[in-house]
Amino acid sequence: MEKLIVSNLSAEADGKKILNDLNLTLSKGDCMALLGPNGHGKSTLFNVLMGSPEYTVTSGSVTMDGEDLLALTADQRSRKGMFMAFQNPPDIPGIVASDFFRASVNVRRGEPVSAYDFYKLTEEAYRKVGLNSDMASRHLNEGFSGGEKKRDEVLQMLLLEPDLVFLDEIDSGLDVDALSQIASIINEMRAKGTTFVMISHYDRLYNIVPPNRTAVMVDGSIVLEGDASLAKRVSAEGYSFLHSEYGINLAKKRPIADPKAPDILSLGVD
Amino acid sequence: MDVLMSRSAGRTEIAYDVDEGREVVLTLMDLSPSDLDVAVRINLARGSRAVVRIASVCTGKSSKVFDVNVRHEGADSYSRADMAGINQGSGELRFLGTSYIANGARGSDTRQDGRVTNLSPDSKSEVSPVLLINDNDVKASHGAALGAYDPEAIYYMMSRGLTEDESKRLITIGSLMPVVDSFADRSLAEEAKRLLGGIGL
Ligand SMILES: Nc1ncnc2c1ncn2[C@@H]1O[C@H](COP(=O)(O)OP(=O)(O)O)[C@@H](O)[C@H]1O
Ligand SMILES: [Mg+2]
Repeated sequence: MEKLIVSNLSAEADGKKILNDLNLTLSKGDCMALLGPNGHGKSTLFNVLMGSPEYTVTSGSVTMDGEDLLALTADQRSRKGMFMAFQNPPDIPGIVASDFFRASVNVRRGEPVSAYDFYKLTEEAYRKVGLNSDMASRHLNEGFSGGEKKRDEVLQMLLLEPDLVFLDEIDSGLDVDALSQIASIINEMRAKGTTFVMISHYDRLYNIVPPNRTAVMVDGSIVLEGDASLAKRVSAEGYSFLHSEYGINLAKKRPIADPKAPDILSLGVD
Repeated sequence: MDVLMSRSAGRTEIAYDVDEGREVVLTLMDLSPSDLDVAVRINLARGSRAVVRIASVCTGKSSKVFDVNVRHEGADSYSRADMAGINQGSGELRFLGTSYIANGARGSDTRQDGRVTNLSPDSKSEVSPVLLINDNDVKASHGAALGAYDPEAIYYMMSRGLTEDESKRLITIGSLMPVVDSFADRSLAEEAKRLLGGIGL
């Protein structure tokens, strides 16, 4: 991926507008911190970019190196090198993790991976994320703790070698040691040119994986962009300076409870 | 006892009287492309046990009924019946189960579970467990679920590069695998896996 261009993107789910005329450009090698109050559409943006069928794009476009991304299914996007670490990876009973990993590795290769290469690949990946490779014989995410699920997402990122990665709160539920293991994996991949967008509320992640850009999302749009210092400032101060210094209204225009309620000019964030 | 039905049709009856202190384990997998009526009748004496696992794939317009009837005649008897199915076409798949606990069979423990995944909007399925309890101090429970694929699971798998069809195929096979894995006869388990792989879901 050289360039991902999101233009005037609007999307909804269940008839509810979530993304509103959103614009964003990513270039190869970027490491972007994506911040915003809870419920303002960060995960939705990732899911729309990854191709979740839950959301309907109502207007706008997304192109990756000139190609219309929105015309592709999620699996096609994955095979083009995109990867999203889920905020809440679902349990998938009945599917053995290693069978699934092998299938997902094989779909991006001409020849199926040999048993020996696959064994080496997974052993190495399990070691790097700090999980016991016995977990390969368990069902996908089933009975995993929150932290184990996060590590398992990173494990799959290692196996699939994507070049555009969306990390949705990858640091939540991780202890300090786990976080530094995960951070060094991200940093290694960055050094090889992988592009990252990271949603996180905490500067402990941004301190060890320093972003080169920050974008702030409010009510389904990117309302402010800046460098790493913007992420630091939000982590430290919260969002109220967006209003006092930039005049950005932090209330969502369409409250969920009552769509007919008048716009509220308030600093309340949920 | 292990049963693999790949070409069966019509009515099949499997009956056991389980003597005091004995156990019967029945694992039945059905991949037949035809109408089927399978009745399992088990009578449990004091302290005996029965574990029944059934998996079925219903294709085309077939009509299939599995009826598992467990009678706890003796005290402290134990039973588990677990039925998992996939209804792929416009046919009918019914899991019926009755656990009967006789007066005097105190301390008995029974559970029935049934799940069917409907792959088509035309699939007609039914899961009806029935518990008939005639004594106190027993444990009896059941679970029934009818559903389609979990879209969240499908999306997750697709986001890792598997096509929608491949994701559904893995989920389908996965839901039947616990039954295959509990075949005591390993060569039968391998044969079941081979048939499942080739069923073209
Ligand atoms: N599938 C969905 N159906 C209905 N509403 C949704 C759906 N997904 C997200 N939303 C709503 O959209 C808003 C943004 O959610 P989300 O993108 O998860 O926010 P964030 O990640 O910024 O916390 C929330 O109000 C959420 O409840
Ligand atoms: Mg979120």
